[in-house]
Amino acid sequence: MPFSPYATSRYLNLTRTTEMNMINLNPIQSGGRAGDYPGVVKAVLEFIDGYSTCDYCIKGRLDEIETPPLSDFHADLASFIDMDEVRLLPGCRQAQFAAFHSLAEPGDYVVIDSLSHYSTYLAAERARLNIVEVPHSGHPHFEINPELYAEKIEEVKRSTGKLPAVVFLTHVDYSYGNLNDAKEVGKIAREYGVPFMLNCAYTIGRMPVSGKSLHADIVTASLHKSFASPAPSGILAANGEYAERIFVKSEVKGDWSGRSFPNKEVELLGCTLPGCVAVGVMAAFPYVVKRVEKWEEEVKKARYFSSQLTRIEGVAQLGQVPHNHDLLHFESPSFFDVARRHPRKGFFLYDELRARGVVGVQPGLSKSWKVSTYGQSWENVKAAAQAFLDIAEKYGVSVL
Amino acid sequence: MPFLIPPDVVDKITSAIDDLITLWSIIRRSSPSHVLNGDEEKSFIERLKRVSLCLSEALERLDVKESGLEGLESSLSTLSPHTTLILVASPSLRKKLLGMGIPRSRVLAIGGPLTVDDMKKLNPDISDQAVKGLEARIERFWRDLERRAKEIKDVILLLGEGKRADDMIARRSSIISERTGVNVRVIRLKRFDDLSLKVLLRFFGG
Repeated sequence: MPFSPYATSRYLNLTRTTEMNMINLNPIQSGGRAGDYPGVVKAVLEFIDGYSTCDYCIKGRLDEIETPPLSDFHADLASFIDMDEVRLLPGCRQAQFAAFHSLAEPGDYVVIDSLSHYSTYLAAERARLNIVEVPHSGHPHFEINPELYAEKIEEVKRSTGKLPAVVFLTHVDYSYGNLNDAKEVGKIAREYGVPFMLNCAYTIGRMPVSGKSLHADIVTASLHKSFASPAPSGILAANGEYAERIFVKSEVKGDWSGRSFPNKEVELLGCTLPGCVAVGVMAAFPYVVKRVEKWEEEVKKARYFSSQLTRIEGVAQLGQVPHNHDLLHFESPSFFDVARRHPRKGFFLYDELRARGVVGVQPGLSKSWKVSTYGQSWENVKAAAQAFLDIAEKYGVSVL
Repeated sequence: MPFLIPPDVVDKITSAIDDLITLWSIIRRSSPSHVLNGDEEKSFIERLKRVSLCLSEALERLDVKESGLEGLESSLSTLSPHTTLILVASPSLRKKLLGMGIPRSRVLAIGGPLTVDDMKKLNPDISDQAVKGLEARIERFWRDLERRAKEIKDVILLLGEGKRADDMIARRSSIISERTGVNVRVIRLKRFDDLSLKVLLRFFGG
């Protein structure tokens, strides 16, 4: 069926004004704002053509391209997160799958924290692995006790006769923004000789992370979530023997043609992230190196924001208190009461915030919701907090 | 003949785009208030000036001279001929405009700088007698303008480029809006040619 220019015109002139007109507190967007950094925007535009990074691809691998300096960048990135080897992937979930797939056999068990992202479950499922969850402490703090990892490892050992293939922890979970004790979990995994995979989707690019100090054997990260990078982009990093097992090179040989690809890495299916995304990540690096140094200030902003919102009757911040991360989860039965009476129901909170220039709370939610203060100026953090206080007052909810 | 973009024009345009991207990022980063601190403000203004210079040089290189006519046309397109007054510096230009058929009530000549101080800068040897005459001329102009301001909403202050007296008037243009309460738009023309006169005539329905 032919498409008229009129029919296709709606795909042109696409705009997004959220970051220009609003204070955006959406937790999945706050650390991935690439447009705030002109070097990233320029690099993305320069390399916008599909295979633009491949002009001088001599060895057939993204991490070995010298112009633009992707080879050096991979080395610097590995050094930045204190790991031996790193590769760029289209996302954190692909990195997790690659690691699970290469380190475990179908039917093996992996021990994961019960606040893992859903994609961790799917990555394990796709690799045909069984999951054992480490429970959290429940409402209101939802903390993961590292000692429970030892119990779960023993449990797997007892029931299957062998150790789990991987121990997995989410460094900061996506529900409550709790900063987990990775070092302690890493120590336990090391004592059992089980590889320890740490998901740093909400930490690498926001705060300083040293994989080796945390005893991580494998590190994954989401760059479009926390590294001021365009999507889709992620990291898979590994140390020593695990790097060798994960980044194993191809041995396939065509039975008729004899073709082979000995420099290609099997888990990565050759090249992973060509073009403007890889270059955008690389261009974000100088900014990220600087911004992680300001992590303490980001935590201060989050704590200030929490201290203001919890002045509202019935509003409580879930997860660790005082909080150690910019991702904040609040429960607000008082707003939920307002929603029940309001013609717009749960959407009233979104509407009221938007009217005050604040977005990021999921439309329709009023009982509990997540926000992130990352990357906002103090002026914006204060204005956003004030917006919540004003809404409370408007609807007769007491503010202390 | 195919149109060739000269290499230096390509360089100037890409350089302008580079600065514009940085300006765009600064605007984003400072959203939604767009308040900049001292250093950011300095960098913002410097880059904006560089963009303007690069694009002007590119236009010049392509021989697309900015006559100011575009500014005049676009300003007039938003105004009503019934509530707009054209202010010019020289009485001879006013005479020329009237001769072409532009209504007398719609054109006024200033006759020179708007203040005695400016006139003294222009002619340090001016005699006391001449200063007195000048003061009378300036007073007459303000009286005339304030009388006409009751019927108008907008003033187009039509000045030439590269003339010292016109530069002085342009710098003092805010006094006109302060004293009369009307909107003042300054349009600088490189030359008052037939084309610009026709634009004015068309505006006034001639």
